[in-house]
Amino acid sequence: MTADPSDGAVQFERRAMGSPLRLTVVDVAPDRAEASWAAVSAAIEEIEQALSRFRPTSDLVRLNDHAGDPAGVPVHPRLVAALAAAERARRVTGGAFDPRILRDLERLGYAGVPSAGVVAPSAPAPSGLRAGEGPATFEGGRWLHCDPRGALAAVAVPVDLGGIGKGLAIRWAATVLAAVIPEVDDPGVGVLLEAGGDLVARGRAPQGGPWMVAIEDPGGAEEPAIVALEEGAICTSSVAVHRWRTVDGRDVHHLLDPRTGEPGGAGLASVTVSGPDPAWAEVWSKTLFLEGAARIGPRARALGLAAWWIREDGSLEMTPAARERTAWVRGED
Amino acid sequence: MATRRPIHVAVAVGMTAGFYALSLAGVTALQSATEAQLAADRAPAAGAVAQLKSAHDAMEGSLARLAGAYAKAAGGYQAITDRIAGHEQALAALGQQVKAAAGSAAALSVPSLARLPAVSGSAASTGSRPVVNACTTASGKPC
Repeated sequence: MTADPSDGAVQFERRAMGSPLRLTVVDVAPDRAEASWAAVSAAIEEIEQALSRFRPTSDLVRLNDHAGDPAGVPVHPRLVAALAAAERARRVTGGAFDPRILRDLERLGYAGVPSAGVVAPSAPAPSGLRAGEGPATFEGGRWLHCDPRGALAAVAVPVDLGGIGKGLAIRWAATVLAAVIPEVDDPGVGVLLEAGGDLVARGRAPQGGPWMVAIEDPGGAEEPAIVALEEGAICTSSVAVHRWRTVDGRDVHHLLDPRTGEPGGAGLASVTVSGPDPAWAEVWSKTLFLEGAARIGPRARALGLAAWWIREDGSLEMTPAARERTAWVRGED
Repeated sequence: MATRRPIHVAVAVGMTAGFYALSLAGVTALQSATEAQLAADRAPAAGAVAQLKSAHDAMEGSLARLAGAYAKAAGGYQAITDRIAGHEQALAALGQQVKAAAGSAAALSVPSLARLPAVSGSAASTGSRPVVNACTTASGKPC
């Protein structure tokens, strides 16, 4: 824990979901701040145990082990809810978002941790089929069977909840936080919860006013823009960390297009989306990334999203809704 | 004895008739001269009368045109009057609405002055680089 008495801010940090988890609370009594951090940590731990595919004992790993069995297995209610949210995101995005990409990720050698050097591709998936094709669904055309009351789920093929899982985790953690700190909407009080670049904020920042969130330049240069976040979420899909070269000489990353099974987003380095909900901000940041540099602008504007994107050459672009929320842009001051 | 004829009567009658004729001729001549003089005297007046008649005709034409213009102006004025009447009705209706709104506002106890909350300078897009609280870095490294 770190505290700065001058601005009333207290910050907590630990690792979770493969990245740092940070909580900043402003103008909250120390004991309540500690209690909020304990509640958030416990909630994240519970969610990670349900949704992570990198924990051998998680509910998701167990569910994937039974992929193809329509009888399904009992799982944590959070996982049932996450699968339902992922299926809704698949339908809303017309298939641009689809959790059934795990076999393609494994085929390309994605291990879920920052990669470097050459990674040997694994053998193609046993079915040899991509998401949405043939055996990727149960009989009747559905890939997912859920029973929220019995906390029972069945998937036709192994799934990876990835970004939407992290978005849901901080959505649920923020709900827990609001329950522990009911005065979060009082004047002067503020909270910021971050998990690997995805974040949710409420109330005021330590310096007063909205929270200032810098958009990272994946190339390592100075942040190209700073966003003023009054309340809501900011999520980013980036290939800055998870990219590698396969033994056959291909440069690949972990943001796969479910429609091709191959890395998408040609010409883009990162996409950031701001909205009221972190899970949907994650969904839209990834689907916009897959549009690539040539199509992302018209698509983001048509959807009315507040989106910022950085091309591989380091240039920053944004939508009109994003510009309204941007407090500072490199080169404009 | 020879019968004397009354020649002197005839002469007298003749002379009388001649005298009368001469007198009549003289009078006629005098009258004719007088009338010619009178006609000559009246000739300028007749010209003036003819000129006056021409001027009168012209004035009558002008008056006819003025009457037409007046009728047209009267028509326009009537149209404007109708429009003014319409505007007056609209203003009256607006006045009723304003009165009703004022009554509603009074019933709701709407304050006459509402103070806006103070805006923090750091919240506005001022162009200067603000203090950063977090980053979108996927690796989670601090800003």
